[in-house]
Amino acid sequence: MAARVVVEGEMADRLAELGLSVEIVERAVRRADAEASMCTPLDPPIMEGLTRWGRTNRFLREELIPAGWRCDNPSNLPRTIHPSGGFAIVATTGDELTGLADLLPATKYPKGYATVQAVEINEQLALDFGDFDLGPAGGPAGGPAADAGDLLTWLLLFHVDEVGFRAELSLPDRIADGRITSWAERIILPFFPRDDDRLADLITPDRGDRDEGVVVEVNRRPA
Amino acid sequence: MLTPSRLVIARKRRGLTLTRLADLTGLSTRSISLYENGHQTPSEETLRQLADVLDVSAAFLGAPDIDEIPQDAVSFRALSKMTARQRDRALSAGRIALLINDWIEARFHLPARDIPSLTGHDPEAAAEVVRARWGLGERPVGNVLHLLESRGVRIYSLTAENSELDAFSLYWNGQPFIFLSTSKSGERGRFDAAHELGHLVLHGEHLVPSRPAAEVEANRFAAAFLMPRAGVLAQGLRDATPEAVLAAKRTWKVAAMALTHRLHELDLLTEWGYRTACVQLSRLGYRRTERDGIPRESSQLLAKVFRSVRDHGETPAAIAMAVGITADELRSHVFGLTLTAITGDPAAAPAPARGALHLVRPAD
Repeated sequence: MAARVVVEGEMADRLAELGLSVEIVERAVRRADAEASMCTPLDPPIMEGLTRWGRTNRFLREELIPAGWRCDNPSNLPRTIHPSGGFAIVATTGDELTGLADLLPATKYPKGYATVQAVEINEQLALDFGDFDLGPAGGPAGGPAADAGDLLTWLLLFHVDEVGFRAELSLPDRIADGRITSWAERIILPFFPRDDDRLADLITPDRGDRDEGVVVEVNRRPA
Repeated sequence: MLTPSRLVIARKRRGLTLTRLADLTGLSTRSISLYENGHQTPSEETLRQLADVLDVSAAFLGAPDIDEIPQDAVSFRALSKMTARQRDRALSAGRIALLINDWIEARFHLPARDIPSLTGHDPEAAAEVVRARWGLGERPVGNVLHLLESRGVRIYSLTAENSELDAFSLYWNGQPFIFLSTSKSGERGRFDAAHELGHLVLHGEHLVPSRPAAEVEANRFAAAFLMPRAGVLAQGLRDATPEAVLAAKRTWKVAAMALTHRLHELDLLTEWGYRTACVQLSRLGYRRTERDGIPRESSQLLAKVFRSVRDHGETPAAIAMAVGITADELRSHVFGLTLTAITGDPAAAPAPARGALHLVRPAD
């Protein structure tokens, strides 16, 4: 099944249906990046990625728990569960195609048993309910369902490089050898440039001075 | 109608004593003193004469009252070597830059202040806090001036006559300002800016206990801010040779001597190793200049402002006129910080001829 790809126009609305926003994700990703950047070559090599992954999940949870979300970690899969109990999100590192609407991304590393099981449940729920046409949350409505058996698992894929951050909230429905091969839906978040976190709508990118990412916001006041 | 405070500032800006101004204008010292105290008002003609000699417009001298920058609001590194006249000249030049800044603030939304106040903290720890708060981690700072501007610091150039100073900084109505000499090396400019950030962070709230101690603290802050402990420790620079220092200084965009000092501070160089490295670097010519150094950083804020001014069909000379100063005076406050040439003539702003680019086909 071809993924339903949600971009710009509908993206914010779709996130809102799921109880999320671009800002929540951006804050979590940027804060995690700040923590990961504390790593130096004296840290064991996996530490930076591990820190980024761990803190992205934690900061996401810190934002969502006050809004009634819950969390659990079945088989070490850090799930943050929507108040409806219908679905969970898990932040995980995506490959370099993450956030590019026309391409097919995967997670950066092959996933283990817990993810495989979660994706198989996504697939099973699709069969049970048909094409995920399940109302706003995209999952079975109704009572709390903490069992791994009856909730959808969305992945928040993030990819980071020197220029900035790309992310998407996507619902995997096929996995083979730990690698996701098909997505039912992908919600593509906007690109977050590095280092200008406080700068919302900036004026035209400058022509003259090449700098290294810091943008000094200068806007004319209304006359 | 003369505003006394403006006459004082315009005179001090030129580094003139009352007597010298009297000589230049042919007025008596007593008259000028009476004008400055507001006890007497000069005629229109005398006002113009004063304005002429002081290189400002008569309108400048008649505009609303302005406060001088109090000298204890500022930490001058070279204070002990400065005369009162030099100090007054630097502060009055700064005051005029504040007027230019007022003009800009009235027309542009600029980044708001985001400078933590960490009075009384250890400089090393304070630098770590600022880095963490700004999300810099252990990475090198790409461009110090842009970073500071994005956090609400306004940066102006020290005017040429004040070249005995490296920099000074102050809070003016809560707004942080740095005045920077633009005649030093790129590495030195970064360090000076970080040093002033140290004053703003560590000494912004109260008067500094003692100036020499405050200068040492600001230097330690600058070193820790530009060369964070954990980042430097990770570079494998124990007992570094001068070659290794010269390679590593590129990462942090600091002077070779500054990095050497930092390595010593972090116990990566022994006392003996530190001295040897200093001697060797001196021999290589690194004490006085920074060989194959980085280009000076410029102001992104001022560049954008001047570009926008131009795009709106105004000229920098028109800004100068609005503030009541000459285009030369305006230029001296942004000199070395903008790539934008500020022409003296408000009418003539010829676009520089651009070389036409065309595609060259590779020969098959």
